[in-house]
Amino acid sequence: MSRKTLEPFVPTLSVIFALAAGSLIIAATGSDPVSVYGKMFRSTFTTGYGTGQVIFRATTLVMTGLAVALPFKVRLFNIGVEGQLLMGSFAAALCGSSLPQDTPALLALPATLLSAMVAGSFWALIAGWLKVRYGVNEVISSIMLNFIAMGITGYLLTTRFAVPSTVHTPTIAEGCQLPGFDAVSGLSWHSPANLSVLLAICATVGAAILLYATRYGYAMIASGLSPEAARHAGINTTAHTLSAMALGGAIAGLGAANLVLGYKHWFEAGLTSGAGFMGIAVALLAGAHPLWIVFSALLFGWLDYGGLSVNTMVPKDIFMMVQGLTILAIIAFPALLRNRMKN
Amino acid sequence: MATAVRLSGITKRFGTLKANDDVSLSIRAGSIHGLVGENGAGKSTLSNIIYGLIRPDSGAIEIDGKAVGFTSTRQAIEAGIGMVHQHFMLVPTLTVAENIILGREKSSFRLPMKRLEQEIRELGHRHGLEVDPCAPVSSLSVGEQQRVEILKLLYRQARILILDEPTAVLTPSETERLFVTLRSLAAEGRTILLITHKLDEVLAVSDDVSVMRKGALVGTIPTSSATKEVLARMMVGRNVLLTTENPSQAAGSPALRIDRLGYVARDGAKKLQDLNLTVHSGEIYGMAGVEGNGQAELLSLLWGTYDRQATIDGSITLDGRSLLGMSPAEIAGMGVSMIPEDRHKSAIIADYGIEENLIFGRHREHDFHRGIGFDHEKIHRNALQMIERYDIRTGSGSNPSIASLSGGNQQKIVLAREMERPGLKLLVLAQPTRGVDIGAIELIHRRIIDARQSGMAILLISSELEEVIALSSRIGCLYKGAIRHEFPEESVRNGRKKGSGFEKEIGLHIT
Repeated sequence: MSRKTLEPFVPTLSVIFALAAGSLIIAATGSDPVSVYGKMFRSTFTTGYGTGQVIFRATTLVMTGLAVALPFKVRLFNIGVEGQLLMGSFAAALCGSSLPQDTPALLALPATLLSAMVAGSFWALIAGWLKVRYGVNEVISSIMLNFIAMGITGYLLTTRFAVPSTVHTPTIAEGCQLPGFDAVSGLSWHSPANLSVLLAICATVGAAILLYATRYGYAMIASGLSPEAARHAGINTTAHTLSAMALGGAIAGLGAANLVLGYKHWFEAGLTSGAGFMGIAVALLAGAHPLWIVFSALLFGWLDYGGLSVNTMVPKDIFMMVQGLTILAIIAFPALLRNRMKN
Repeated sequence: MATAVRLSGITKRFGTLKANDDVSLSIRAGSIHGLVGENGAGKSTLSNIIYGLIRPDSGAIEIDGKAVGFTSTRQAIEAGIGMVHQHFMLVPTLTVAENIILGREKSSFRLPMKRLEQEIRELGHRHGLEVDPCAPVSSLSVGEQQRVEILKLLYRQARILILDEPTAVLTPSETERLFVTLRSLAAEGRTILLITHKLDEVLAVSDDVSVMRKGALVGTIPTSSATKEVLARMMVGRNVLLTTENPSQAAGSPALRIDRLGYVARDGAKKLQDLNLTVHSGEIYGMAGVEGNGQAELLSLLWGTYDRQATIDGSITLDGRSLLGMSPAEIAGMGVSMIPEDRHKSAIIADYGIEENLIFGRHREHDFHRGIGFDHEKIHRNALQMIERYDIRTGSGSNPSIASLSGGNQQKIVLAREMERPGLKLLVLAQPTRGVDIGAIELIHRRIIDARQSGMAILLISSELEEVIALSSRIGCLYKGAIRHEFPEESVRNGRKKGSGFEKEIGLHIT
């Protein structure tokens, strides 16, 4: 088989490889991999609560995955999603809690979502602007911006906005809360899954349309594939760099819909639990394709919650290793294939 | 006569592509052996196999009658083989002498530089490769750098020299000089394998010539019995018209005017100074010149892609409207098309299909739009039309990726797209046939002349003098950022009949 025919299977192969490696590690810790994986499956897919947990986690990951994927199309590696998600969540919480309790949802929801998107977008644009204006590598600047975002939100939370003797902000107005699955469907999953999943689907479909069905996407992808040729063809690559970052940041900020509007209803320390960083892995596994990101996010959401559910049998850290191994394999396999095929 | 290199049944595959297909070839010791073929015919692969850079899948190699199986270039060098690559492998900050002994230092402590420099000077003198051994390589011209590369091989006692497209960067007089050197090396008993796509040159200097096509060796013939037509037919597999008919035509009104144009790069280097020229509608203004004399800067000014921190003065106008300061999209909107010199870098998107590439840069035209996206039906029909009109050989499947096409067909796509721009007035062509096979050159030249006859103003910038002479109405000689001499229509027409004599005449004005 040639390299070309094998390449589409790299993500699947990587996942299988990582799961197999995971079972070796589980075996090495003295547990039975079959029963561990079995319990993971049962606790996630056969219970409403587990399914809801996976969906809840995947919802944030779809947003953060897209936030990495869109800039990726113009050759930008947006490592700063964590910071953008933090800023977006913080802005949403502040906006939501400062609105009067009886603000109608039609006004409160858009206002809160918009504040989250603007905050995330602004944070991403700093890295974009540094890139086009001064040539600062966006990987480095966005990592640093992550720390700064953690610092800002942490500082403002503890010194100014936290409800006394707690580590969270006041509850947001009722009008901007997104109802959970149970409330709208009559199910009783008691899970954190909520209607923001619809926003994640809209964002995915919107991103796919933007990239593959509009003239804007044609120009954007061209400036990512070959910036020099794109400039020659009269495409403003600088504008595309900035707008891809802005768009990525906005979708990262939209993650707040799930965490703040749909679940916690406030901002608290450790709210994001690293979903911004995991978005990088989600996007890489999906090859930065918006539609694949949904599946990739579900897989990582499953590993994330599934790992937690078997915590009594094996430490959940093992599943962090599996997530890491998947990405390592994704990166290493194509290179391995290339070398094999050469000789 | 003894055989220096004997290849038998050499086959090398890259994936499904057979780069070399059962190639058997003998090169006589002490001869100059030309190896010609179109791009992608397998010349470079074959030479890299001889030099130990690539291992063949099957077949045998004998050097001086001894079977060898090189696994590294080190072994090839020890067997007396040397190669001058198209892109030189020199350290610019080191001197000529230091570059030559690099990797061959006989003492690990103090080097007797004085003596080495003397040795190198003598070696150079003997073969017409004069170059100052103490000068840093960065201060040398391209022609001098090439001499250093050859000296490097001679210093290493190479007896078999492989030269890959050595004249691509040389002026006509430098080429002439290189050939004298090659003949003197051959007379000393050294064997030279000369890889080129310029038929005139191989006819001028070689003893034997081998022709490759699609990875296979078509044949080897003594140069004395070869003509340009014979070689071209062997390369392409059919009869080729080597010179395009160029009927004369009265030029129209001035279209492009360049007036006292100056360009000082941000590091202070003067790239263009006091450049003046006018291109009329219905004429092809050919700009001859060795690369690096300001062509790249002029092109960037014409297309609005220049470094905005450079200092520009003078003016560029099209029908009286200034082009300076506009973006590429605005310039294109005024009816200008540009075929850039580096097709792969600037003119196509390799991952896009043919249809997408055929609208690339013209995707702003409303005709191709529908809603927020494109009218794919129209884009498809546009592609079919272009494929037909420009004889683009697309192979199988609908809308295959452009990367799967030959260089010539890729260039036809660029040409089709740029020439069919609605309202086109000015066409700027930079190296329009670089990396293009002979068969496609014929069609491209004919289309350029057709465009001229339809009243287009055309500026042709090419380092291939042959091409400039064949197509141009007038010729300007670019040297150090200015037009040093202009040949009016009459003398170009007469020059076309003179052939290589005219090339030399132009050569005088560009060095």
